[in-house]
Amino acid sequence: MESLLNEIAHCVEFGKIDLKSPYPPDMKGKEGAAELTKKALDEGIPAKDILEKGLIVGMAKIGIKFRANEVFVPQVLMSAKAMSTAMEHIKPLFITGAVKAKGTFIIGTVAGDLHDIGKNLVSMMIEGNGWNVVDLGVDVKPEKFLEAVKENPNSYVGLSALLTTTMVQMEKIVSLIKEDHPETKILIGGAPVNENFKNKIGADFYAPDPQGAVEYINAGAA
Amino acid sequence: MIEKYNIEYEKVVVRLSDLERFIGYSGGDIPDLFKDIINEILADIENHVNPTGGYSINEASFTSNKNEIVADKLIFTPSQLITARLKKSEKIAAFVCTIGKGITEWANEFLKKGDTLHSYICDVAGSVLVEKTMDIIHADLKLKMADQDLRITNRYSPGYCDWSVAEQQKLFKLLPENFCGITLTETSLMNPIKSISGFIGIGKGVKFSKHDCELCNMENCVYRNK
Repeated sequence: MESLLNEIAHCVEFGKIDLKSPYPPDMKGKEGAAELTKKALDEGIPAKDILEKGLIVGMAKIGIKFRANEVFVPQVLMSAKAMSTAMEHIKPLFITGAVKAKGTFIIGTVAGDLHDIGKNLVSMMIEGNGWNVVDLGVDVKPEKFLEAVKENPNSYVGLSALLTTTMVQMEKIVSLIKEDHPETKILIGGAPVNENFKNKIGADFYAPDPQGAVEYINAGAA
Repeated sequence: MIEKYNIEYEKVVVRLSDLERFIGYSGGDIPDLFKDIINEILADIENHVNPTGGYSINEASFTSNKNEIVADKLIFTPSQLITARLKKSEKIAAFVCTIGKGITEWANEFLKKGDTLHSYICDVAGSVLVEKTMDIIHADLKLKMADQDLRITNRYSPGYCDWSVAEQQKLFKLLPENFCGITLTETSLMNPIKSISGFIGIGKGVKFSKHDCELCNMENCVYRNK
């Protein structure tokens, strides 16, 4: 069982989606995350174990490599694709209750900003770590974030920005959410923000990279 | 004075090396699959873009504290970082540049099919292309101004270096309505998405700085000179 889970983790880490996927070249012609996940389920390995000891492990490894600049966005996208393809086999078991999401994470790029690459990476990494993600998109007004928090109690909120001037939107959103829902944990990320800015606006966490966001919310869910 | 340019794609061709650097693979160590996808996108990108741009040249003055720029009676308040670079300008070129909405539609088509990698490459290629298009316009402006013994500065855009994106509304008043087909959203963002805008200073005493990124604290900015 452990060997199969390790293989699944390896496929996700290196972005091996399925048998027909030519990437990575040294795994060409081999089974990928999709087939191995199906095989693991057929062998009776609990879906929870496949998720936690296989798929999520692979995503965590690629997240750490991305943080260290050992890999770049395309490789993370391949890993996320391998993860999501494998999840097609696992998702039906969410409905039966055999697998549960760790919680809900709401994410969006703040109003006045259309940059979505960072937001999408965080979204994929968090979904790949067993969370339900509500992606509000880009150029999201404060009221929309608040509405999403009301609809998803006990969720985490992630705010993304690339433009320096849209950082002020983050402050408005944090203030609006904390006024009605002070218990909601809010993470911020993006090139212009930092730990000092997080403290200044009263957010709960500054994530310098996607894996940082994953580790923070996972710690809260534990 | 208004100048408008329709740039042929052959003059702004995006190359594999442009994207490799942008994505992070600067050492030529890009995996073959990614190289193939980039080449596939670049082979067809010409059919999805319409590079165009232009500028208006306006008399410029500064308020007494030098923190505000007055152009065509409109007062602009970029950050001190930007006004310091523009303060010797006698004129300001307000520019816009776009490659059209086709590239974003193309990227979205890939996304709908779940192909995040092709979509990402399209997006990045679009970002590189709009900057290369503006490079051509910027270079032409430099030549035109040199004929009048004037120099030009780097380009500075709302949204960067602490210049409020809301000032786009005023910047667009310096240009004809719907210039180059670019419009602003309620939150002052440009449509098509792959568009850029800003100011270029013009004057005898201004200068172009090769490494202006050093002044900005956005160390992870994708446009940062490496």
